[in-house]
Amino acid sequence: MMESLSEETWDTVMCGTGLSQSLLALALSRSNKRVLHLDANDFYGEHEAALSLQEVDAWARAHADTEDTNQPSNRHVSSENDAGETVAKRTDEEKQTTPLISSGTRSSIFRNAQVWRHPDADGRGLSFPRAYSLALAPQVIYTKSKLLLQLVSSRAYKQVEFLAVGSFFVYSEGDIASGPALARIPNSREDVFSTQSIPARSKRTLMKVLKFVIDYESDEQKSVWQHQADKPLSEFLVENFKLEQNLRDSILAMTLTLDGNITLKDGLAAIHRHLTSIGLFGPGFCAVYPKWGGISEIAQVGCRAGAVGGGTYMLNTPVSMGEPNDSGEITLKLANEVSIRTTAFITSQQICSTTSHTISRLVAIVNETFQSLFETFTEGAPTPAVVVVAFPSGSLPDDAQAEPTVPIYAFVHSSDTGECPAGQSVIYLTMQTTPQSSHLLDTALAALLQATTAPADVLYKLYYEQATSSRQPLTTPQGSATVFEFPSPPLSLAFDDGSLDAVQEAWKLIMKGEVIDDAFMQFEDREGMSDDDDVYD
Amino acid sequence: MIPTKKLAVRGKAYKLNIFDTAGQERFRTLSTSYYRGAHGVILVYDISNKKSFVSMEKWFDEARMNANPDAVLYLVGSKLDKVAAGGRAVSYEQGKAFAEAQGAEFCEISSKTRENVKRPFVEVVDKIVQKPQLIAGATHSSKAIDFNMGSLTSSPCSC
Repeated sequence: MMESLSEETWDTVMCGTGLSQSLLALALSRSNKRVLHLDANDFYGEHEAALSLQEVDAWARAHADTEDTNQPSNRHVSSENDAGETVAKRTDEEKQTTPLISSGTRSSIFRNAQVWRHPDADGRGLSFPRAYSLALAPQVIYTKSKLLLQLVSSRAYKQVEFLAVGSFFVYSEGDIASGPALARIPNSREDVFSTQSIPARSKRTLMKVLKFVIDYESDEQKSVWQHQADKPLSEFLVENFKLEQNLRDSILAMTLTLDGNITLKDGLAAIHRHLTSIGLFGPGFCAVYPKWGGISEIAQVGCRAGAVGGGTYMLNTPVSMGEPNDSGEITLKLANEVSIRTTAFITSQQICSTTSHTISRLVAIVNETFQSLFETFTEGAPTPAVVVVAFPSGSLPDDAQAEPTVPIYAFVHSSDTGECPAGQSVIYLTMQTTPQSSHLLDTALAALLQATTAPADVLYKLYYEQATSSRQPLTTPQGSATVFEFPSPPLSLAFDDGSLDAVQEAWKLIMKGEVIDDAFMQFEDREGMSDDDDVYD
Repeated sequence: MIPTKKLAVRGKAYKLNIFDTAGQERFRTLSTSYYRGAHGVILVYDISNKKSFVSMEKWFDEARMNANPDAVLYLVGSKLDKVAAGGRAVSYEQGKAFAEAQGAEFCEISSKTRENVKRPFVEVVDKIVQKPQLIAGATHSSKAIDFNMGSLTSSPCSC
């Protein structure tokens, strides 16, 4: 069987099952191209995977290092798969100790991973490991995103269950009498007017800002902001609208920016996306989240489409690149020294760029449902499964010493996401890495529990840091073949449509001019897939 | 991909969403998303191939680990047509005993002669409908967003 892999020249060998490669697999699923899709991990999703607690524990051990030190070892054992075929597998011992490998190099995207478990976790409700599915890089998807259009036009959306992202809240420390509080951000005209927490004068200001942003691309409004496009959004809001601090915090929170100094240009685009996404797929929400672990689920659906289209799938299979052969094809060595050939090797960049930001993430499982956060405020709005809490720069009790401060965001996921059992929630906190970030994320988590006055126990916590590779895909000719490397996932909290361009670029590379761009991700329902076409009774 | 089939069991019509494993089982790379919300899992081996029978234990483990704990498991021995030419490598009794040990129902079929092909589906549905707790946690929750809007005509099927 392994030998049969080396008999033909693959039109493409893809390494890694993150979102980009998996969307590419979906895009190629009707092309009749010969596709071999591998992943060095024994789970789907690569940097965007969603893991059970057992998998998280192993993953954290593999990513505990600060620095990129160990070289991957090459010890492998062979075993037989179900059909009696010989398959190379890493040993169990090795699986736990060696870092994850992709195309032969060690990934340095994730580091400093640490797991904490409540001493009485089981007594307080922590369920069995597979009852959880923790997303490594959770992102909300704005309803305006091109990703959703592609999932619809490719018919893949039918296999993903999308849930609504609900309210955005801003945390404030409050005064001694009232204590910390979460204020919901109004996001529409009606919403602004019905909100009682904002005084009338501020409402008028807020309406002016929202109106300006909706129309920000018009020539009239451009003349107001374009000459200062690179200055911080927050300064502009103060200078042009005399916006007071709490409203400014609300507006900034809508950008989901991890950098408190987001530029006017980027900030306006982000708020515009937020506002114009509301109501697009239904009343009262601006973004969606795929059930069971977010982006990871879309990656799995893409891979499944690839398999239905005839692609061959192998997990737990690291690859290393050999010399080009005489016909100019790329040769790749799988574990077990099996050699395969391809004209297009698609992988992802594993080495983090020295100029990139790093973000710190804290994922916490809490035995509380935070029901009040999941209320809806628009008639007919679906009950959300995700809400967003922003901690503006400098809003936490003790982060004054860590200057300059950056905002922290918490995504609260209810059990409707399928990421935890009923009665519990998963909270994903994210901020730009600072020397204090591990401590600050803990502080934010505690502040969130205090502000919601939830008598909650934190049952399990995972801390880690995430960097990025260079932001551009790399294309390298090898003989007559090509190596194409996707950038690692962006660090944004909302899905970034920019990453779809690289998928289309890779698709064109493999299709070699046989296609027109209009055909990208445009598929009919597969035969036998539509309802009731074969009644069998 | 989700072909839907209609099937009558005890005079009642049911609509089945059947997930094809699409060859992803070849290297044991079925994604966990296959098992999400599955009410029944049918595991098939080849009665003319001892190895494929032996591998069933691993597949039962995987199904049990990933699927709903109440999901109905069903074991099928395929290629029954090979018996005539003396090709049987696993006896009916072996299959039956193994299925019983796994708490699964069992039958042998031939896709070639169509013998028994409908039976596993009928029996699985029959078992599923006897477990109201299984149906209660339906695949598509009421909270899922319906993409049925404007130009996006088709909506996710929920049944």
